[in-house]
Amino acid sequence: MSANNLVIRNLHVAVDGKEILKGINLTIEEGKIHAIMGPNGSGKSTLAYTLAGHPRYEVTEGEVWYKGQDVLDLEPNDRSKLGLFLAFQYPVAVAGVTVANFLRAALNAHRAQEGVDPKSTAIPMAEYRKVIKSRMDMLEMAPDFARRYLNEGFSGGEKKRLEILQMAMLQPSISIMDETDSGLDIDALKIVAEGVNKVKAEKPELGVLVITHYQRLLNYIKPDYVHVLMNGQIVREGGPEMALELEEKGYDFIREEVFGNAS
Amino acid sequence: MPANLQSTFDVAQFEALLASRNEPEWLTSRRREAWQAFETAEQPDWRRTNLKGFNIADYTLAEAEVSVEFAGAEGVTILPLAEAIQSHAELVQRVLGSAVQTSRDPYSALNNALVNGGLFIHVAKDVAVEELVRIRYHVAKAGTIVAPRTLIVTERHSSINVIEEISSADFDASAVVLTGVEIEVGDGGQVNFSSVQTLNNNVYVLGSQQIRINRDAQAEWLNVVVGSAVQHVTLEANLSGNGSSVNWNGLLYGNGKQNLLVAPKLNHIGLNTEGQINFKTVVDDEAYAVFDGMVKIPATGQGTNSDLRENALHLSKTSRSDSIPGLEIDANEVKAGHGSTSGQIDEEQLFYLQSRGLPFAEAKRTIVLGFVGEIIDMIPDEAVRERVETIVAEKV
Ligand SMILES: Nc1ncnc2c1ncn2[C@@H]1O[C@H](COP(=O)(O)OP(=O)(O)OP(=O)(O)O)[C@@H](O)[C@H]1O
Ligand SMILES: [Mg+2]
Repeated sequence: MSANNLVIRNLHVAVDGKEILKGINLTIEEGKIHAIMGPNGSGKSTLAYTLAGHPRYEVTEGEVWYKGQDVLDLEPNDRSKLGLFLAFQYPVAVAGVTVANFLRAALNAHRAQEGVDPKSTAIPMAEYRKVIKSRMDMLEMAPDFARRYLNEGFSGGEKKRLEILQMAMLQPSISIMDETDSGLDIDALKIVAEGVNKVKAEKPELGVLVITHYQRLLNYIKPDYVHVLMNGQIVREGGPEMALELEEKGYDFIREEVFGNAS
Repeated sequence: MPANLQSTFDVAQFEALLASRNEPEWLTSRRREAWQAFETAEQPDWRRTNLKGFNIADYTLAEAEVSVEFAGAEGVTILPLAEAIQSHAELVQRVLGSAVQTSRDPYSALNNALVNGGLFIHVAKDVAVEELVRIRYHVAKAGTIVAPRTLIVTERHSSINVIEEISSADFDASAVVLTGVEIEVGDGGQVNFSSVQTLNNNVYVLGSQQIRINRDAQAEWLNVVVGSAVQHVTLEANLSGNGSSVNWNGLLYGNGKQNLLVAPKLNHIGLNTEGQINFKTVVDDEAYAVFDGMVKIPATGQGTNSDLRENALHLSKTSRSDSIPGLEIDANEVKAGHGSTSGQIDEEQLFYLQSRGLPFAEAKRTIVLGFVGEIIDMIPDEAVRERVETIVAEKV
């Protein structure tokens, strides 16, 4: 098995003392697209946040490995530098911090090396301007976006687009997209999905974990695998056809099969 | 324990000041009155300003170094206050003492007794001045007490932008600044006034500022406070004229042992006046900052539209801030909102920035600089803004 797979073993996670994830086993393969589907409250975001290192989520058992590193041992910023990216379901607003300045700081943080003067590794301004412009063009974002404060007063769709802009700038090797499709209209959904596909085309080794409720997104970002998360556990796994089946039948039939009765 | 202030400041210094100035009788008698009020007063009972160890007897009267940068414009008069006392006696007599009121507290009285420098700015009617007037009062030496005063009077339909910085050399012992800003905005005119305090962390600042805004006139007011050991400054915007308005922003940033207080008071006196207050506070280490605000809408203030916002950020467990947003309404047709928040850095924001690769310390720094940046960005002079940014960058 490749060290460039992200391997999750028997992951148990509690929030405020309540167990939410109850033994997740999942491998996100290098270069593959995985979709996670599951009802509200099943633990999808919990899994996403835990992988990104949110301090509120307490890992009570299990392990996560990526590129030979014990991910759970790393600070959130080091996970980012390792190549992990989370597109938030609910992106956070930060007043007074412009998109452009923030993204430059993030890029420079990625380029920084221990014991080396950060000035010498920082991206030159001219180069940065070129990169951000091309990425914003790709996502059809107006230039004044870059001068706005991070998510401050952004519409739901704008926030999601900004998440993908960040992903396109940081070029992760594992991207977790938590309901990036919610809040997007059809046109925006296409643009965002194409953006993701372009990033993936540039970097074929990119592994993607798409969390979604809708087959719609999966028409554009075609999954290799679909996993169903219910009640803190992965209860089903299959190919892309499973997303269609779920859309058609809902989750109840799985719930009945797995837990015996529809609750 | 309130101690009598009698003879804590050398009367000979006061007499020498009087003797050195050939001032009109009204001013001399005002000074004597103020001196008397100071001398017979007791130490003020300020619960939120720490004057422990502060002894006015330790200081020698001196003048602040004054610098003015302004190319000059038709209809604009800028004079040292001492000259304006002679040449614009009537205006000076009317405005001097409007903010710094002898009856307010003993240090206001002392301020009026000792005022010994400063500037007078007058704008004739119908004159709109584009260029920013840059004033700087600089305290050069430790052990001194300076009392500069800024007076601005604009006639109707005129406008001007002024920035005043109070700065000091980087000395280790303390000094005292008795400040005063007294502004009158003529009918239909506009004054934009920015006050920026970048004193070193050993200086005491005591004083008052007031803007009186006449009929249909406007003011943009900015108060940025990043320096000093102890600051106690009252601020007053009087929306005296019908249809007048003020947009008022401020920042207090304290760290170390700084004790910074502003007491902004917004008086909606005229009909249909509009006022917005938006102050931000950051405290770190053992600093203590106070926003002692008050919005007053008397019975005359029908049609008032008022809003007060104050947000405080605590960066350490041992730092403190008090926010006292008072509201007194005696008119019935008014809109008045206020909100204040205080708390630590938002964990979700921290995580969001960290998740993009920013190390914890940098994420924190980014959030703090963003929080204060909204106000700092309003400083209209680049050099002053950069000085403030440097001071803030060292604090974070
Ligand atoms: N801070 C918290 N305190 C208590 N319970 C929490 C907390 N955060 C999440 N939970 C609970 O954890 C469960 C899983 O939440 P999570 O956000 O992971 O669900 P989800 O699958 O992403 O749902 P959705 O589809 O609605 O986004 C829910 O029952 C939720 O209420
Ligand atoms: Mg979720």
